[in-house]
Amino acid sequence: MIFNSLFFQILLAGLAIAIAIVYVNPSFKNIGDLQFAIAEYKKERDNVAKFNTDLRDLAKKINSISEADQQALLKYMPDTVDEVSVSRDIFNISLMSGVVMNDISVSDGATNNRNNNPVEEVVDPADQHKTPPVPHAFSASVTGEYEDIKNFLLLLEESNYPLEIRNLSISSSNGGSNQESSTLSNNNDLSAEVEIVTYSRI
Amino acid sequence: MPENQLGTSFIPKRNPKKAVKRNAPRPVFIGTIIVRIFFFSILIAALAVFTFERKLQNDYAEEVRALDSAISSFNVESWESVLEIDTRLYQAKQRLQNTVSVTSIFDAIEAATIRTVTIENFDLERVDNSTVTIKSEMTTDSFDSVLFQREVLKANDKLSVDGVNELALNNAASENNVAGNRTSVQFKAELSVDPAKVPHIPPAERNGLNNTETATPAVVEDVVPINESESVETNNDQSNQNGL
Repeated sequence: MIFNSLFFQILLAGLAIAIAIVYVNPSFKNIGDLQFAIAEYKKERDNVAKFNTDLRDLAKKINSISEADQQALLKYMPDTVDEVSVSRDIFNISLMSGVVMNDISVSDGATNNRNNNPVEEVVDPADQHKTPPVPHAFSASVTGEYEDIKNFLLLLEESNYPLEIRNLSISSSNGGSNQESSTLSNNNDLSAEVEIVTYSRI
Repeated sequence: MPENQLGTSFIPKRNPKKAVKRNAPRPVFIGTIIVRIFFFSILIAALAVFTFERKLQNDYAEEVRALDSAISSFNVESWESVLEIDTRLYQAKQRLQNTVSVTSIFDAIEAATIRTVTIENFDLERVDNSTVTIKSEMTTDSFDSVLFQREVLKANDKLSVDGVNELALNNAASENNVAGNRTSVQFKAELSVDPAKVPHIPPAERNGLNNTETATPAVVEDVVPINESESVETNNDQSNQNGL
């Protein structure tokens, strides 16, 4: 019979080998790829699900913050700085403290640059992806007695938003000789040049 | 029985000489068995692989759909809101952790300025979060006072003396002073302040501290004034009258 013939056996073996090479072996590789892809998708799906859960938790936490606290935070670190408003606040502080404000101006754009911020050099490695606040500098010139200038600086510190003293230069307002009347110790009118920096988020 | 009658009978006669021909058993080759087992194994394997692959493809499609569904459930607005608050909190925290109270620095300088020293000019610069430098031009009546002032500044725990230099003696005669010449010594004190030692304390916290955060008086026990400076004191509680 033909099924027992040697030719048929060879044909059968060849067919089996061909099936193994052409179909089974590539399918095995494809199965491996599919299993890897499924595992990756599953892992990513778990990550996305966990991320979504965390995001929902964080959103809940944010919503649990009181409106007053949110407003205080927004006041402390606003999105942008209204230069007129800050100038007005500094002027009002000068009035409250008793000093006379001679001049106030907004520093140029080179100062108000996130990358040109001399007080931003230490960042926690965990927070590297977070951007530092943008500084906005104001220059003010005031005259007054020592205690008034000190009070002016204290009121700046106690503002609802950061008004940091970056530079301060105090001298006698009536010239610098060695006369006692011109020293800072006599509570004369002193002249103070102050560079004040505030910050915004973007 | 006549002989011709034997050959006409309709009953078949068995030929006693003819051997019964039987089929011989077919030979079974081991190679044939192996080939067939191999072939059918491959067929079964191909079928199993096909089925399993189809199942995996379905699973894969299911995972893709599930991932797409999870991604589509991501709330962009919520994410932006969280990111905004997080950044704002981080920035606010960064500034709050690096506050410097200039008035505390003044308090420290008042506490560390001896009675005979007056400050002519005062320059403060905040170089970075961790450095505040002060350059102050001071005048006093003698070199002994300069030495004493330097020691008092060094003894202050909030101030660090980087140098006392640019000494200038002014021994000009005073027209209004009948006693004769009036000597003064000018010098520049370069100081630095560790911002961590002079943080800004909010009023609410400050009130809770029962006013214990006032400038720490400089303790100068091992400094002995040489001559007329013996009467010199640190002005811990007399800052309005002396020093600044």
